[in-house]
Amino acid sequence: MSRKTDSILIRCNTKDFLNEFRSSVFVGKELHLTSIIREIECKRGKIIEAHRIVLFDDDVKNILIAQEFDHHALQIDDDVNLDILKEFVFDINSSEKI
Amino acid sequence: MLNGMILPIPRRKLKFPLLSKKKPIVTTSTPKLIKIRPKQQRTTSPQCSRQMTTSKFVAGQRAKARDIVACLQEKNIQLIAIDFDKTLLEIHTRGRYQGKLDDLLDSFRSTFHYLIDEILQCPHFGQTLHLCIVSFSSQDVLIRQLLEIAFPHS
Repeated sequence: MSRKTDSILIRCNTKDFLNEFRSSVFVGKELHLTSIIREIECKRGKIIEAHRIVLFDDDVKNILIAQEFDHHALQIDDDVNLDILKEFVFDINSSEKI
Repeated sequence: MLNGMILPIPRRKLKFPLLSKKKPIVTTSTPKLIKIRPKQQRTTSPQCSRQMTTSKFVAGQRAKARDIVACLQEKNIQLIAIDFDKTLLEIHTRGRYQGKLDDLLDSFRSTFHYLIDEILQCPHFGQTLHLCIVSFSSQDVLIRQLLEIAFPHS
């Protein structure tokens, strides 16, 4: 029986993943996101544009890199709550690229 | 006063009868027992009030998470990526967690638990709305198992 959680994609620094991107320079979470986007395109037939991605990460470097790559990103700390996420999401301008 | 004459003040009819001058009767019989009504019990016990407050809180959190997911779709956000250590979890596993999964579940941030639960229930999940966990950790199996026990009803 398939679970809905099976549809959550996971990208970690496993041996296979590191071998796939052996010659690449790791830039924040961009390689992970690129791999995810490729899988969604192949298996689900959907093309995901850069500005249609939201990243939640505690590392400010990953956040800044994500924003350079046109994603929406929010730095997470221990004060995070649903009100903060709601405000962030409501402030996303869907028509404009970052 | 009328025409310089002081009129007598009419006696008002007494509303209350005069107290009788009879002496009180003292009896040796046992006095009447007066039933004291017990204080009305509360309809809700303190434990019940706490449960109602907790369930109200959970309902409020779920409503907020639902609003977030609805807004993400309105804004045409197609992929939500969540980091693992210190983001999805309150702790850092250093990529080498060896403990019990149930213990790790205690560190699952409730904020993201509510959000992911709503995303999983969204009818567009897996079609126009996708969710991923991105981590520098190498423990992808651990993350998969954690998600399975965190969302057992999905």
